[in-house]
Amino acid sequence: MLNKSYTEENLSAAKQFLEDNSYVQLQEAFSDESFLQSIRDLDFTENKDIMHHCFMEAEFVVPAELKDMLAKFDVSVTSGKVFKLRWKDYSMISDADSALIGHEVIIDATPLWDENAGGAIVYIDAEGESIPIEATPNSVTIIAAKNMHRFFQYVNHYGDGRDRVFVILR
Amino acid sequence: MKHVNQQDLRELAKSFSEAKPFKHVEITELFDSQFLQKVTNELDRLNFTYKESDLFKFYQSQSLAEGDLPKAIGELRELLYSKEFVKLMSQITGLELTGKADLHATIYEDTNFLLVHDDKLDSRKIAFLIYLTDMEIDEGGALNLFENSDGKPTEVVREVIPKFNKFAMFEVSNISFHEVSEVIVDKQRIAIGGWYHAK
Repeated sequence: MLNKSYTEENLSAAKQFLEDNSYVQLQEAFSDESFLQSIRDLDFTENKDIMHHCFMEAEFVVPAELKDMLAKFDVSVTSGKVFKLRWKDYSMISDADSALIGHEVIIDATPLWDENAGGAIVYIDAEGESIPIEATPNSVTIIAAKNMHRFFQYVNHYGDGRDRVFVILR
Repeated sequence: MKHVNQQDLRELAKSFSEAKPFKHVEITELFDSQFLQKVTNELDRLNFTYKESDLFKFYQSQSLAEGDLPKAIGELRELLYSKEFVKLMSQITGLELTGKADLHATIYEDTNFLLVHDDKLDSRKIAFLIYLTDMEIDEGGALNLFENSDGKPTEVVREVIPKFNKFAMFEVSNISFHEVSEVIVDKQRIAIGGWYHAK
């Protein structure tokens, strides 16, 4: 499932990068497209609360191989949720949202995306500094969240007819 | 500004108070069109800032509530702050308003939007917009008003389509849920607007 080019040495360097920065992204993360396709094929249901969010979602069981890989970053995840964003989907930060602390892992299963369509996963801290995670098909991004909030950037009409699909693990 | 006689005033006040999903009214050709065209022509002399967050994406001018302004825009500000105009707003809405409104210009371009919110902040009482460009119904940029259930927005039941020299206003309240729909064409939706405050 995982791309074999990510050797122990490469992962160790990536771990060091994560320690020095707020996030690290592993591109071409999976050698097997069928894994990403299986994510896209999950049974999604709409979750809509107009003042807060609108998207499709599905449950996700974290594969053991992925857990093992993340352990090399000293990252432990216990739960995962898959999100599918279509044109006009979004999420907003509300006063009731708790700040994120610890690691979040994003598996990007988006098949094809227009870079003008929005749909970035944006992490923002109390000072307004933001980390936008743009659509990068077949990637794994690890974010070290320190008192951050997250929102899904509104998907505009350039995303019409496409699906922005990703898993968020915590 | 066009003359609003007593009959017009009664009809506007009735239209405002009975409007659904919450109190609002649209008035076409309220201002002299040639004057408003001069205002539009001066917009490139304002400083617009690109603003983006989880809630919105658009361009906003500096505050027009104070400071030196190009001639016609300055005259528009004087008109909006005049006793005569504020009295007209109060008569239509039945609300006691202060004379000084927040004021700025906004430009929405392709993909720009403003998601659902209620505008409630401090003593804001009336939100208003003067549209300076035309949009067609399938081009986006509409001011969409939401029905509510138990104080939560449910669905769009009213679309205010921007047209040059259309004045739109609504009462800011716990249920004044509205959005600006995404502009989906290569065109600018331009307006000057703001909020009158309660006395």
